[in-house]
Amino acid sequence: MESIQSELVPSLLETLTSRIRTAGVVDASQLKGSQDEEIEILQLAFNAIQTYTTKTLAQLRSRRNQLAPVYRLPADVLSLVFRFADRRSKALESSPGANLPVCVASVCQAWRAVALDTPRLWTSIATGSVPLTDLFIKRSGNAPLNIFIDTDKTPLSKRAPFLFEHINRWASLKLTGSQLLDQSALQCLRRPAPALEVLEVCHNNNLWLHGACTTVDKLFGGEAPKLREISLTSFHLPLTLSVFSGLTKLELTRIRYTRDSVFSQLLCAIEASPALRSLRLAEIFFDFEPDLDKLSLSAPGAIDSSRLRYLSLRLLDPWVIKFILSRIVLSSRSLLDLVLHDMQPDESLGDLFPSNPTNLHNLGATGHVLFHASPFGDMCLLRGFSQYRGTTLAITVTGGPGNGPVQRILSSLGPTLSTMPLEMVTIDRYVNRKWSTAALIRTLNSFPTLGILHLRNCHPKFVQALTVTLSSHPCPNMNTLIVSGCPIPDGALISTVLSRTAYNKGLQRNVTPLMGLVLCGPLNASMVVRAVLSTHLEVSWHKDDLSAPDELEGE
Amino acid sequence: MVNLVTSDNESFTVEKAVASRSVLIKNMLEDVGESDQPIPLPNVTASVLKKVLEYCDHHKNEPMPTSEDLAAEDTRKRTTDIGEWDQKFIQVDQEMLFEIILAANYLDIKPLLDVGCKTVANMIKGKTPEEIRKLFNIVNDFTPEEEAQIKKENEWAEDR
Repeated sequence: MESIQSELVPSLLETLTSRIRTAGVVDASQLKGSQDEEIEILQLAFNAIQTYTTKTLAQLRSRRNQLAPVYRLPADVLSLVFRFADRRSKALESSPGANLPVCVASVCQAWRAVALDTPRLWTSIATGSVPLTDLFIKRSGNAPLNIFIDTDKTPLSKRAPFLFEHINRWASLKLTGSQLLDQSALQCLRRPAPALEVLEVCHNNNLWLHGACTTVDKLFGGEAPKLREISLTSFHLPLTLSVFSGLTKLELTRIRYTRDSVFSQLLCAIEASPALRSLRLAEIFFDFEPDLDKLSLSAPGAIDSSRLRYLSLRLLDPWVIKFILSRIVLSSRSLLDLVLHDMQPDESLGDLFPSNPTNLHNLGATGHVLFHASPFGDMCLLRGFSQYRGTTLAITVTGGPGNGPVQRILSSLGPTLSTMPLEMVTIDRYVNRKWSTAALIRTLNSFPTLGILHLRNCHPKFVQALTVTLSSHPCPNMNTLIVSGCPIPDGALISTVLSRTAYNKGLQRNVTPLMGLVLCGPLNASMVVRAVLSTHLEVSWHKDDLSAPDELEGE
Repeated sequence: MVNLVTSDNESFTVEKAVASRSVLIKNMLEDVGESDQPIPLPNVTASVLKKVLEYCDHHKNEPMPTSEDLAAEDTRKRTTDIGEWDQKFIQVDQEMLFEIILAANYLDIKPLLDVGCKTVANMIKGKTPEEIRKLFNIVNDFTPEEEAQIKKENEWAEDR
């Protein structure tokens, strides 16, 4: 390096400056012979070399990049990669992924060219940095815009007019923050938005607790014909607005209603949205004493919502759930998701479901139920599955201390939901020896089609309760029993199983003999049990426990 | 059965249902009708076609993407998830990954193209430009003027 500087550079510079001098590039009439002339010429030489070198370096680097395997991807494919990456980033972040477009446009010239030529990459507009917003708007061309406004981060007073210029291109609007009452923010909701498909408003103040509501009277000037998805959190909009029709998704969370007319309005909105696929109501508080007779008269009757795939009713009063479930017709492919906290000691499934709920066809498609109890009895989960393993039912119930809902929910399952043509029931972690065997058997007996019973991690007394005697015929049509993780002595298990086989000479005709026994895990699969029972029925053994289909397939 | 011939002159005889996952091949078969003539694939080598056919065979009973699916390409609703089997299938080195993407693009197998692009997208997300360059063995070839603009844009993005 030193020899280059001391030997090569001086002679090259000498040649270059001498040529610049000869070419007469510098107007040296006044500088001729002075040091200023020397400085001027040397500066020119330096600039020329620097410009040429950086340009050549960039070209060489670009050419070197051509050899990288990733450069084989054509521009349209790379553009698709960027869009997937951008969507993935957005899915993982609560705020829009501003960094991804900027990042990929900072990698190299080729990637930058592709990124700048992909308008859809620049369509997530947040009101943070003003120059960045401008840059995104410019680079997004005419593509539909996804607007994110956080009123806590950026006061809208200055940016709102700029955003309104492009309101015709808004495809989605996510408005969040604690300043939603700000007039400039509310203006967003009063102007026509002809391309808007999604509206999400999340008020960060916990108005549910404060008992106040935000209202907007004229939403989008009544002109949002493409609006299909509405999600409101702590933000009240009258359900009589024209936008509450033709929806595919509706979510209302943490809203306080003071008039009972909201029920008929809500049901009317559902009825006016025949393509509704997802409906979620959570933490809705009704600040009035319900007159159910009056409500029943004013609300529409059975609403055919056959395209509804997901109905979620969370943390609502039981009477609200029952009222809604009595009026909505669910298809066999729908998932009904119920969550109840602090269930009162006198409440059970009967308080949630209408009697004989034949309008809920998802129940009619439920062939397998999994009942999972928490060991402390303070929580239980009920999952229903159709024969193609789609989830049809998801109920989560918790009770206060000393107010265990496990027994009540299990006991009320049979009387309330006997319309389910259950072929299989899995009872998981039913461990408390104080829980009633009679209640369990009554529930199981409510499902005459029940052929397979899986007792998993249960107290042994519930296995023994399946013993058939002259006077007791629990689960009369059960043909297969699966036992896993139940600490039952071998003798007791053998005795129970034998009572349900032809070995029991007193087995009544109305009791189906047990054809199969599946033993899982080390607790229930001793050599003795297998050896004794295998002469009477088909006994299979699994080293590990069978997994339960307990995944919730929500939206 | 359909006979496919790769750029390195290797022949693959596969079920029509498998080969027809490629819209290019499906259209060719429809154009020429019943024929024993091999279909040349000059842009695909044997090692890559083997992988592509593995994918097609696994998905042969699935419905082909409809025009609605394809129209959804640019909508925000299109999923970015990759199925479990596809994830294992696409666990290959970078060279093969890009070859599969190119083959899927050439053969017009949209779901496979998506799997490949989503995999590359997953490799990119969360990384800095420098980390991406290192990952794909590329260098910064921006001019100083471009560098200055990029620096500003990154500063704005950090302010967001």
